[in-house]
Amino acid sequence: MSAPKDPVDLENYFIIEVENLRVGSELPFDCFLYLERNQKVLHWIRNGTVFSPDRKEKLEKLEKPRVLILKTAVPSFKQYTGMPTGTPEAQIIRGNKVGREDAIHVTGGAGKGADVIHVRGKVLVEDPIRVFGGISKQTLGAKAKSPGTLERNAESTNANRLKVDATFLNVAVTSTQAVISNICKIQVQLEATSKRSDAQKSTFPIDVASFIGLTSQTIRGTIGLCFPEQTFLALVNAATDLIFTDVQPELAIGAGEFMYQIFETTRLNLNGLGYEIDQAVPSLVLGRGLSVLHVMPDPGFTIQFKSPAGPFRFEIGIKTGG
Amino acid sequence: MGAPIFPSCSYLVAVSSSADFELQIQAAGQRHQCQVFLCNSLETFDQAMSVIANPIGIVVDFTQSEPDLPGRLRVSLEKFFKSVPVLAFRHSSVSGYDYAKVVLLHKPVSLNDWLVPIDEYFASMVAKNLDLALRHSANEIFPRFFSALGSFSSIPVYQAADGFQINYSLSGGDLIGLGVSRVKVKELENMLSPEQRSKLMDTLKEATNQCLGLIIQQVAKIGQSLKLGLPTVFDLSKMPTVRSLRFFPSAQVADPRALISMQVGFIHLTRGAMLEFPKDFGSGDSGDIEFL
Repeated sequence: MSAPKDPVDLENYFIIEVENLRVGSELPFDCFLYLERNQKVLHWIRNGTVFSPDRKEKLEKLEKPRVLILKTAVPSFKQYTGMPTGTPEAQIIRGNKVGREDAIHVTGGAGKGADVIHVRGKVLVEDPIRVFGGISKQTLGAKAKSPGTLERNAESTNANRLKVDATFLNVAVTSTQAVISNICKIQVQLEATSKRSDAQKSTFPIDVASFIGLTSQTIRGTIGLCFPEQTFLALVNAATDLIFTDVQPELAIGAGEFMYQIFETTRLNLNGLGYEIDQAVPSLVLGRGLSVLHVMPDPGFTIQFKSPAGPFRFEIGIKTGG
Repeated sequence: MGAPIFPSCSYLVAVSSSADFELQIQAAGQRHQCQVFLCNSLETFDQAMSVIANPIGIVVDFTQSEPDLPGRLRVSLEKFFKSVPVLAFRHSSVSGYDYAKVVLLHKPVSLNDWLVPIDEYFASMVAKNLDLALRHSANEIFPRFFSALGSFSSIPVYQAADGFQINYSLSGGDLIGLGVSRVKVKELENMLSPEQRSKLMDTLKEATNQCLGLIIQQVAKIGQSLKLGLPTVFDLSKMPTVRSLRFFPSAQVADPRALISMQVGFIHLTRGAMLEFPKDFGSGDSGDIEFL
């Protein structure tokens, strides 16, 4: 298994915890070291080499050691560590080592020792490691550049911390963009990502919405796709090449159609990464000025999109506490 | 302008040029929460069938048709949909429709002449013995939480509630299910103590959860493994129209005053095979149900 030709193509790597490497064991995967200062990746341990005590000792002397494996080696790593095959890759990245209060880690899973959302301002923009399985600079950069705008996570010592998977969020965003672009031939842009509790205070109008349950071994929650009437009509008109001026129940099915296609695209992409998300069928609702808070009471994220058709929202509520 | 066809939605295709039939089949769609696509000509039918990959069924009204339409339609139906349940209304008997359930209507056609066969047609799509399984599960579980409710019995169609609707999704491979409880919250609260009222929503979710847990046990007996998702709660006063994208042929039960109704249905996403539940449920061994 060889490293990518471009050693600084960090998108091909995953960070792992050194504690997962057993001293004296033969590693069935290549390990790399990321040298932050030089922005370089070194091939540290070859596949089939024993992880010796002196290697560990030398590693511990380094400042902020970052041990990487190739994405293609993740199945071998899971087998080596005994993790369930459905463990999402993001769970391998345990942010509790980097516990500075004002640092962003969007790490995943519902296992023990996970995982907190903190916010680190400027460092996020400068630190590409954080974006491997996480939200890109484009999605969080605006907030990250203003350290004072995001509150410190007071839940860092709370046992019921929000556990959010950055890979899931990223895949949901890209799937939404791809599906809307494919169906409606309209380019959709990510406008803002915020905590649901903050977003609920806004007056964003929701007239048509669709909800789908999310179940897997590690994630349980509800996803909602919410549209103002004008945005929905514009998208449906673009998708059908027809002109509708009113959202009747038989047309509101389109919200479920968008949700289903986005969900299926997201699900297939995530299942390819080992998530094992179950199939589901969306429910759709129609009204005026709908309040979705009671539908999705769990904490999570609101992802706001903008498009030539207008704005719309993706709501992700995640069950906490296991 | 008619609504477009949405590829992921499941449709009942109805063919007729009769206004009366159109009204009745649309009303039936509302009763059974099924999306109806109405075709008023053979050309429209052929166009719709080129897009609707897997119709739930086809209902055809031959009572108003032109003389040659039945023959032409029969060719289309035979060509594509021998595996889809077909219901045909006629004034007189005619041979050659072996794949269809034919209902002979007498002129003039009264309201019930349409309603009963259509409701029976929808009921025929429901997994065999699911109504028995649901009735058994509801009677095992709900009285433990609401002792004054009374026994649950089967009802032909879902009953709208003016309170809350709690949706649970069930999934296992290509088999997915939808469990829905509908609750008239205000009336139910009148039966409860103040302490019980404060916990009513949690109690309802738990009761629905346990009821569906028993259903899952029954499904396991026929070799299918299902997981239960998290509840999604809809306040029907704030969201008057709530429906599923796909049609789940469902069994429904309710208590005598219809304060709580439960609806459960299943579909197989890749094949039309119907579930058949066992008739023998044994005792309510809910001790090993996994709760959220």
